[in-house]
Amino acid sequence: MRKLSGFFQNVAVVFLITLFLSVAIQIVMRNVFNAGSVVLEELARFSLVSLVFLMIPVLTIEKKQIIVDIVLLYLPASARKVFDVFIQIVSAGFSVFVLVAIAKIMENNWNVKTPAIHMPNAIFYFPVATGILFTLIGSLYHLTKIFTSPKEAGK
Amino acid sequence: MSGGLIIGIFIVLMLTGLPIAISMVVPAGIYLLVSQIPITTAIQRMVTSLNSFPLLAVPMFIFAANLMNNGGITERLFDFAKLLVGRMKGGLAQVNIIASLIFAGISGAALADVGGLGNIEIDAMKKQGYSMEDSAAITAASATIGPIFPPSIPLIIYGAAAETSSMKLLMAGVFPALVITAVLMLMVGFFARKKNYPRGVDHKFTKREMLTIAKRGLPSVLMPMILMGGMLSGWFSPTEVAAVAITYAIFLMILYKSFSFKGIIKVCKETLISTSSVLFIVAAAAIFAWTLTVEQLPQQVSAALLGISHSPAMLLLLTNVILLIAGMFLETTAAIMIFTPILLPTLLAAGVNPVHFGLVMVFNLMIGMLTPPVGMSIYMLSPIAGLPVNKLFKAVMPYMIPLGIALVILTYVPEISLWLPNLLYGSR
Repeated sequence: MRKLSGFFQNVAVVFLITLFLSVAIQIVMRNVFNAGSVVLEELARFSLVSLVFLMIPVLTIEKKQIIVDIVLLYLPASARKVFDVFIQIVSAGFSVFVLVAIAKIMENNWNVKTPAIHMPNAIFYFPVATGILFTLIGSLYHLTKIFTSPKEAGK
Repeated sequence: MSGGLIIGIFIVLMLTGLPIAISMVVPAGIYLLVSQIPITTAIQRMVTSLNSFPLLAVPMFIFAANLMNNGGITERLFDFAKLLVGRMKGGLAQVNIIASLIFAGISGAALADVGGLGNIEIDAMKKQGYSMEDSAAITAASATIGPIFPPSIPLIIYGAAAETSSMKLLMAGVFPALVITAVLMLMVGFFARKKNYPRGVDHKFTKREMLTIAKRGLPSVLMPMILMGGMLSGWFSPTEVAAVAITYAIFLMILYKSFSFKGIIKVCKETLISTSSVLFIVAAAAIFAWTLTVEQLPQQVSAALLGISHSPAMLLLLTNVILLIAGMFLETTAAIMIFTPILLPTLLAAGVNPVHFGLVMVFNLMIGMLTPPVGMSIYMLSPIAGLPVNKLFKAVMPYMIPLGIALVILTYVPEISLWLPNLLYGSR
């Protein structure tokens, strides 16, 4: 799982650098050559969407999502384990829900293209779907860990 | 399924420790299924909310701040601030505030200030005999300036949620940040006399010392000026200015010989964690807020608030109370995304300017970062200061007085926020 998380972080780094370079080149193009580019702007926005969704499995695997733990802090370990099971099941349910929603979009609109780059929805949504799919895998991994490795529970 | 029930499910899920973003999507998803609205709406809303040019600034400002913190630039800012106010009684406490103001001109996030400057400030203050509680409290209180002075990540997120000009919002933060700085400095001045804080620097700077510190720190201090100048001249949009900040930070790292590709990749990874946790909430809040809008919750809240009063002053007081309570329990981004569509229509109807309200909202939520139970700044400072959070919450309490005074001033003197954006871009 650590390797998987590392892989997603590396891909997201590429998108982060692409995002920065797209905006930086855009500034030079507009201010120096008086020629702004809608392609660069769309590429930057695509990079943002992609990096966020590709990082969700990393946040899930490494348990770095923003949570409110005021209740959890006062619970005994056994109750925390129950809560942890609940959290992983709901997180997995969330991923399934989003994956079904993406599949429904793709049924009819997979080939609808973005305005500037003419990127089909199938490609635009690929990082989104991949991120959510591996978020599901991350949640299921933590769920199995709760039962197979009791020390992990309630962490 | 009513708006109240959707919020109720969200709060219950959030309290179980479920990630805030997922706690928002789940009730919204149930609502879509129950109301037989196509579930594709959920992912479309989430993706569309992120597919936004203004939001590109968020990862880039976080990236720039992380570069500054990792490249030794923050330390130079601190030394430069020492030159400015270090000779005062309680000098290092004042330096803490001034350094936060300068850092605010680069980073735009309170947690970047706490994480970056916090270590240096607390360490220096401890060496001069300040108690750990006092050092940490001043650091936490002064970090509230970060998201008020431009650039500001919360203001950019508010701009996206309220469909208000990011540029106007950012410019609106300049004078409010100075007001907050002034009241905090007055409070520190009072404590300096009461608790007999030492002078930050016990001797007068010689010309040579002044020149050395200025030379060392000037390139770093120039950064906020370049960013502000770029925005004011119309050369860069707030999003583009974030890219300029990164470029300049990398330039400074090369200049200070702290640049390495390995270091940059490490900073990229830190940036991605912060960015994605914040923007995942933005995406989730897009569908959550949409379900509340479809259920006409904003109209219901509006009717309830306008039923109490039509006076903008009274409505602002009520919204301040709501936001202060919200800030105690909710993470800033989530609170902005949820409360902007609910509260803004009422205030617009009462004639409150959306730019002014944005400033007031963000400042309320920044104060919330210092209060229990979800005081993110305090949680971040706790390991840095090596103090338990309950001690820190207690230590920061006296600073609620100047921050409260600043909140009242900013709420009831809208000209402080609006004068500069109106001058630059007109009042419409």
